[in-house]
Amino acid sequence: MNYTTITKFDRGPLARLLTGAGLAAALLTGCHPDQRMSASSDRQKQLYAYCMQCHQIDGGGHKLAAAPNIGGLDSAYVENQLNKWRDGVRGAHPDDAEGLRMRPMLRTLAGTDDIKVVAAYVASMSTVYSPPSLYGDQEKGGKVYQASCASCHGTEGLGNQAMMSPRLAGRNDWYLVTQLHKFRSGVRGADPRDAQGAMMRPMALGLADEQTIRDVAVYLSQLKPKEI
Amino acid sequence: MAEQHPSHESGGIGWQPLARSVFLTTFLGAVIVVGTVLFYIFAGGEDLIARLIPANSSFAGDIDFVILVIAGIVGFWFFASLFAFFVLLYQSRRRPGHKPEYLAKHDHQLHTWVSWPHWLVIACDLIIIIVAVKVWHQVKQVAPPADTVIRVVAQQWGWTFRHPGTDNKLDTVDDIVTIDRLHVPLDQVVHFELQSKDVMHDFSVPVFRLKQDAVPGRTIKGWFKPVKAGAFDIQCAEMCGIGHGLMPARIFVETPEQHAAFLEDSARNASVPGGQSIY
Repeated sequence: MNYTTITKFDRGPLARLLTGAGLAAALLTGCHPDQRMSASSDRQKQLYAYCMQCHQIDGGGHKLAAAPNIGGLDSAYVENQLNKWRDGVRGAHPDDAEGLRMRPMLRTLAGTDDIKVVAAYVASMSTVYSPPSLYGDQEKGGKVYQASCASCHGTEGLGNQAMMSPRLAGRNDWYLVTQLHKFRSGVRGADPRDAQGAMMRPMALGLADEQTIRDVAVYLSQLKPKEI
Repeated sequence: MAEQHPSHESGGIGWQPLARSVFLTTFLGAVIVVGTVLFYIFAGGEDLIARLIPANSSFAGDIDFVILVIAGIVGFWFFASLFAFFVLLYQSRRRPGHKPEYLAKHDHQLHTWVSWPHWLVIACDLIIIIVAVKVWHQVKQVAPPADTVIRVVAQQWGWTFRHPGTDNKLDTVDDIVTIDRLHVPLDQVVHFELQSKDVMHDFSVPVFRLKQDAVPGRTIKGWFKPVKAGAFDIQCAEMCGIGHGLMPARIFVETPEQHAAFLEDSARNASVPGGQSIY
């Protein structure tokens, strides 16, 4: 191969100008509004990258990191809870060790609509079920649930967006037990700004004993609702 | 690569171009560094470091002094050895009529080049050790009597501070517990009990020149005495997991009036466990 042919690729200043213009045009088309629409899911994934460290890529959670499964929660509920964390309404109690782990993560969601974007992404995932991690009587738990909890959380455990009550079917049993204890002791839901917590606290206090709490939690963790 | 060395043709009139550029870069760098340091020393005196970051505890000046002593001694010998190196490089440069030679004889004059720096290094080390141990003893081994005692509990990823409240006693009903916000009185000796709930953390207040590891299962005691009012940063200075970079806190050094207002305000809102917005 003759070395002089290589230099022939450079055909002078005009050719260089045209090449540069072509590259610039290619870059600018990348910023076309249509392109940005598809980039919104990239934004979701980008924001979720920090959540993923504990809550996992499928939203299935990680018990050792005290991170429950979150996939399939209603986006309005996730948004509401994230706002509470940001404002110090949830996860700011000195005894809430797990909530305090979550608290600084809101510092990564500082944009105006970051919380909305990531909540929509969490809601778009499906609920990841895990086998029971506790001893509980599902039959007894089901009875207690239908009597005490179903009026707000639904007979199928799907939650009620109007009351901001979350979907409970398929949530980790250990997480439900922890949260019920926190509601009972006032570690969660006792902040005067927490309207939903104020509703939930007396309900959690109404559960008779530790075994009842576990029965309900195990029942809910295995509850598979008939999706509409 | 048919490039020819100028010194090859002329029979060697000076240094190799590479050596010359290395020398010039190092020399200019040394001039800039020494000039800046001299400027700060003349402009700032002992407050050399305090000009860059405020010194706000009774022992901050002592710790800055140790850092300056070490930087001064090590810096002096760094530049002195560089200077000697380049002088030797210049003396042994390639020039007409001189053959390269390898010195490997047992000559007393050569011994001095090893033994003198050796004794000097030991002498300088002794100075550093004496200064450092004296300050370490003052800051870490002994503490003045406490005016107030607080408890600092680190966890992944936040700080819980327990203030003694109006009775100035910890673990009583009027204790004030806060998240990520520590309030201390000005000009008072504050003892702290540092604990961790999970892994190792480090309670670091840069303006106090205070840095203390928190080890799970242990209560580590320490002290500080703030000398200027204001709000300053607390950092976790020990890598503790994914949220390590997200666990800053604030320390509020308060005048007696401000601190009294904080105590009263907290007592009035004692039933409110809620925290503050993190934005």
